[in-house]
Amino acid sequence: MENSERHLFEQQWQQAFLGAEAAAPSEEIWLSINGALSRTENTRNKKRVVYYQRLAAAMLIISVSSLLVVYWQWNRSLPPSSLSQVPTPSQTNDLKNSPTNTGLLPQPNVTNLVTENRGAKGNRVLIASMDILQSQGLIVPGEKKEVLFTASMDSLKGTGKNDSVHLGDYSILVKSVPMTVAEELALAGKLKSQLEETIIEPEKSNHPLWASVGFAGGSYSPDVSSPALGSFAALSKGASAGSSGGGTGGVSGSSTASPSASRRSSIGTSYSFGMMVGKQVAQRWLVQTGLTYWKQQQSYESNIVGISGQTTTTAADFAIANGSSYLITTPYTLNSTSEFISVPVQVGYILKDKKLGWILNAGVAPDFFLHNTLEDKAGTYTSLTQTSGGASAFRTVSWSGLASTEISIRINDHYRFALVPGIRYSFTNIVKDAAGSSKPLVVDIGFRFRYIFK
Amino acid sequence: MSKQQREGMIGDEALLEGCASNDRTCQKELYSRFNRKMLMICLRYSRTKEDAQDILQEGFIKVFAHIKSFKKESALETWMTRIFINAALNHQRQKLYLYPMIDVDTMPILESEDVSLKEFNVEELLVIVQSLPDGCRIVFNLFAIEGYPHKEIALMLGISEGTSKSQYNRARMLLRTRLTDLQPTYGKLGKTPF
Repeated sequence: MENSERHLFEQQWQQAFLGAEAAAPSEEIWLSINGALSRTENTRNKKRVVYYQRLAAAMLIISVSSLLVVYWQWNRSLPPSSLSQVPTPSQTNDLKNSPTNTGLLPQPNVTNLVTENRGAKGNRVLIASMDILQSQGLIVPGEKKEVLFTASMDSLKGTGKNDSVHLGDYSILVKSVPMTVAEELALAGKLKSQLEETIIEPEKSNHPLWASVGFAGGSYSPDVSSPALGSFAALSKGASAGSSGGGTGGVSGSSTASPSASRRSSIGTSYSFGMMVGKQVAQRWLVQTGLTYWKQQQSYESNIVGISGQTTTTAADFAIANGSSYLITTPYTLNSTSEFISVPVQVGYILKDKKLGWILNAGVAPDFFLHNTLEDKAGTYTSLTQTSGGASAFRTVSWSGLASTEISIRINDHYRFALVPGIRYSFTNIVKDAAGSSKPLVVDIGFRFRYIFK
Repeated sequence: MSKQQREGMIGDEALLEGCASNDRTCQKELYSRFNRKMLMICLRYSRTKEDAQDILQEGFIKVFAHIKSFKKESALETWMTRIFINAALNHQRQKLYLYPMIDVDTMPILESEDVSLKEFNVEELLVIVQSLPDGCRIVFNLFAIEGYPHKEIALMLGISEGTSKSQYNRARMLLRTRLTDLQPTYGKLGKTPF
């Protein structure tokens, strides 16, 4: 039926418009589409940046929370009175006379002898357990015997008292209530032999020297201020006229132009990869350095273009500060990409060095500027690339401060894989004074794969 | 080789891939290839050029946003045409909401009463189509030019099939009147070339 409805009338209309084309739409349509696409991309980038920021923030929260938990548990595992208040012989005698001794040792330490005891030298670990002691007949439940650990009972050494057992830097005080001195000595002897078997040397440094490769991505906040923006009106009067380029209706030195030469979005993206070498220089300290390649990208709308002969080029506000010619034009989306080589030097403090490792790093890095490219996404204007040197708006070298936390997991004796959330802040200006100020802040999260030389 | 020549050499596959990865050069190339055809579609559904340009802009943004979902089961132009028709319908939906289509009384038109379009160029026909009331214009475009059946048009526009048919008949009647006015030889004498 429908087909029968389509008579010659419809066929004529279909034929009439088949492949028909209208006159080309004005350039403003594409500029509007281009602007809308750029806004969508910026929104997408911002969402991605927010994601990275949240990930970094979550990692920091997890790190700090873990630190607090580890610190709390470490404190809790130490017999507080035994470490800080070494009982004197007279106190020991008092203990012997005490019916319960609950005042000296908190209950958890009496019932649980699994103890990691890091003393002043911190290089020995005593491990015993109530189960072992009970299985060896050293402790009988209900007899109210106590085994006291201390890391620094040097004061008991050589006192001649028979209520302590000395194991290297440690002393073990054995007390039994009621128990004769002879019984106590016998118990101490057994305990000593038992504990000697369970004394283990702490792990030596797992990574005296290592090399790593890594990648990081995150947000980039350029923190730009430019004298070119403030003096734009004066600059525009002095600018030479020329082709507007691309039919965008550019005007030169127009008094009606926006006083803002360009608008810069606040956040871009940052990517880096590099190699590091490091060495543990003390029990908890390490140093590391390396070579890192940085790429920072940012999109923003600009309404200025530079003039170079007969060519219109993209231009940033700081790129025109040297007085080169430029035009005001309709807004277009500009993509700014800066590349650096950086040599970070960092000092790390090892919080945890087990299967799960945790290091806090801080340091500085000289950043060597490679080049900056300003690219019109629509391709209307010629891209502008600046390298370092006298004519560049960028400084050849700038300095950044670095801080990061490195949470790693040991894969085997030679390899570790680490997650590295961190921040980088340029505390010196990356552009020359005449071009304004830019001290970027980068918040990123990286992955690092480490090879340990043994 | 100039930049424009380079752009002109982008193959369809590379063009689609470039657009999918938000390469602005490819997006502009796609826009350049199809903007005139798509603008003609937009103009057919619009009363004014400004409305058509709004639809064109909206349509291309949708094309770029969804080009990853293009499965190549149909020609790219066909896929894009559907997007632009939808964009046009969305754009006109507010008007249709304010002025809903209703059944209209029309005189039955005999096939033999239609006039030939051979005497008219596309621009003239476009002006005639644009002069139709909103509802009639949309139904006429969908039925006569795009080839949608009334049942589908009714679903697309949220109207009854009968309303679609009556709107179309009214469009046809109005078109005949206007064509006849512009073609006095045939119209006044009631001649048809068929």
